[in-house]
Amino acid sequence: MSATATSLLQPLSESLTTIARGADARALRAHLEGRGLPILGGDAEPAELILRALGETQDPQKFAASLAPILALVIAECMAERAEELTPILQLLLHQALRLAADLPASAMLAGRLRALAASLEEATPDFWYQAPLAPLVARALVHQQTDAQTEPLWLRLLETSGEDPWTPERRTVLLSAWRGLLHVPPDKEAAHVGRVIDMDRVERGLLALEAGVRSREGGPRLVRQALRVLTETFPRSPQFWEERLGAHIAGWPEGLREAAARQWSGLESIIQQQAQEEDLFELLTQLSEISDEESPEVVRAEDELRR
Amino acid sequence: MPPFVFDRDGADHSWERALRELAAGPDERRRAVAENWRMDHRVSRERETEDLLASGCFAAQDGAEEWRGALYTYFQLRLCQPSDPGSDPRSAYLYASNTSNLVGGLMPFDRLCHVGSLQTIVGRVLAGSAAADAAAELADEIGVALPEKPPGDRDPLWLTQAVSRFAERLAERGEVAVRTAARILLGAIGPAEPPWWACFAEEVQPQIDAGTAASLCEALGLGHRWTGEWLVVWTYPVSDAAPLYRPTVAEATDSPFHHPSPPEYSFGITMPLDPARGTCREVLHRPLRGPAAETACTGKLLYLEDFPPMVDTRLMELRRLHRERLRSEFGTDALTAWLDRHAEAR
Repeated sequence: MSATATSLLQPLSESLTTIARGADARALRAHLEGRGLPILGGDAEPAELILRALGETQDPQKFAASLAPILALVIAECMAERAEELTPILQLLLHQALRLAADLPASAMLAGRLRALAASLEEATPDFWYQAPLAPLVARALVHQQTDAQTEPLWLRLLETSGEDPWTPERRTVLLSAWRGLLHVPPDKEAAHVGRVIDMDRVERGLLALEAGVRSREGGPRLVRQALRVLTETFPRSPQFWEERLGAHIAGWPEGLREAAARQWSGLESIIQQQAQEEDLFELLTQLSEISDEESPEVVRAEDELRR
Repeated sequence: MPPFVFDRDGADHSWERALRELAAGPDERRRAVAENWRMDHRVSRERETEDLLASGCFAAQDGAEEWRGALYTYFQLRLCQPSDPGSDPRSAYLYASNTSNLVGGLMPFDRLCHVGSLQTIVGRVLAGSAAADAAAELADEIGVALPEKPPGDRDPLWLTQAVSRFAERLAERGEVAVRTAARILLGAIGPAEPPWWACFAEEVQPQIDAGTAASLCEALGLGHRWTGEWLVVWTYPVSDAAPLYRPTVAEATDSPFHHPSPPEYSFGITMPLDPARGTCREVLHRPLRGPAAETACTGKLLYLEDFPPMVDTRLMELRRLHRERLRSEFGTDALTAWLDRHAEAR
């Protein structure tokens, strides 16, 4: 960024420093509401300007981390003010707070506050996750603020209810975030100790739930393909790695998921074909054994081999 | 500064304190914004009372910062709405109280030009409802991933870097890919977007052809853009964008690079960042969507570098030169009286 931009953002950087020192939630809220920001014109939003100003400080990452607990206080304040429904002005404030939350370093305190916000919004509006404009933002902020496994039940619940109506763009975005969130769950101590980063059971459970819910929906298969891309982006591993891990499970997967996986990792295609051939052969041998009065030793031997 | 609001007597106006505070002090940007809101005759009394003051965003006797907060709320709640005249809600520039700013009499084949920021567009998509659809379409149609924050990334400016990589990948895949991405991304923003600002394409064709982002921004007065941004350009016939409206401060909100256009004139007029450049006529209209957003996109992504005028513009000097140019270009009695009424503080 140019030196001139730095000087324009300087007053905001200074204000944020004061806010961080004094844990001044009220002042952070004022900025999120559009007050005390540099006059730039155009359509830059408060959260974006705050992030740019953070980038101008000496240690942006450390400074950004120090702002997360204060943002948690702002969100708590919003929740306390909420009556039956969110007013448009409160929604606007939450929109900015959530945009900022998604881009700040993960903080357990902020994550806890976001979970409480999600629970409270869902309690007030049972179909919150399906079509509320704020839902994708809440999910996205939660994904990036996750520091432990406490959000895993929410991600799994969202994925396991993916077949319920309605089928909206918000829903698809929330589902993809839920999938991303599930992948971002950090490994427990024991798994981390032995270097097992990816929990394949969790991956398979989430993937099967997502696919089962969306397979008959318009654009459902596309969402599944996207989920597999997110998997490879989240855990950059060789195709062989995934083919070995997933190949062992793929026989039990529904056809649509098998196809999507084979499209993502072409090596799975030969595993699927081999499994299909074995299934066909097994079926043939079963039929043969049924029509012969007495099983020939060759058939018995072939069956035994196949079972092994 | 005289106590006008919208070129009408504003001595008792509920914004008087805010505008006075805004103009006080050495910050030229704040002064420019205050002047614009005092002098813009294009905001009719009906729009002032039935839209701005009735919006519930502004409280009486606010100070400057409260007023700016209210302005931001107005922008988000009243302007960032669908541009379909039949929808409810719809963007405030389409209200009946703004009919006086409708622009007519243009050839449907005349061409307009709009410049947008890829980072702003991607940021809106990520914060919007249809990010998953956009990510899947981008991957399926052009094999490019929508930028997303990498797990554990602690850099508050990750998006700037991610959008740069995204732009480079799109550019590598060629103009067709850029156009496709433009359609997908704009579609994913949804209908709630502020109106597009546009000029007549012929007036900036040399800058479009040269593909230099900085010269395009200088010509169009886009002083709010940042070094390091990637710009997307659309050119399209008037028929794809109509109805067209003259811009007012209500849409410019707190842009210090906006200057209200002269009385009795049919269009908005840009204030180029380089006074040596000619002005351009400008209008507002609904954002393009669907196939029009794809075919109108030039397919080029322009990287904005060496764009230093953010602070060093000497904004007041730029405005003075702009006013002189308006005087010499139009020279009408109405213009002279208007500029004399709003003689700027030095």
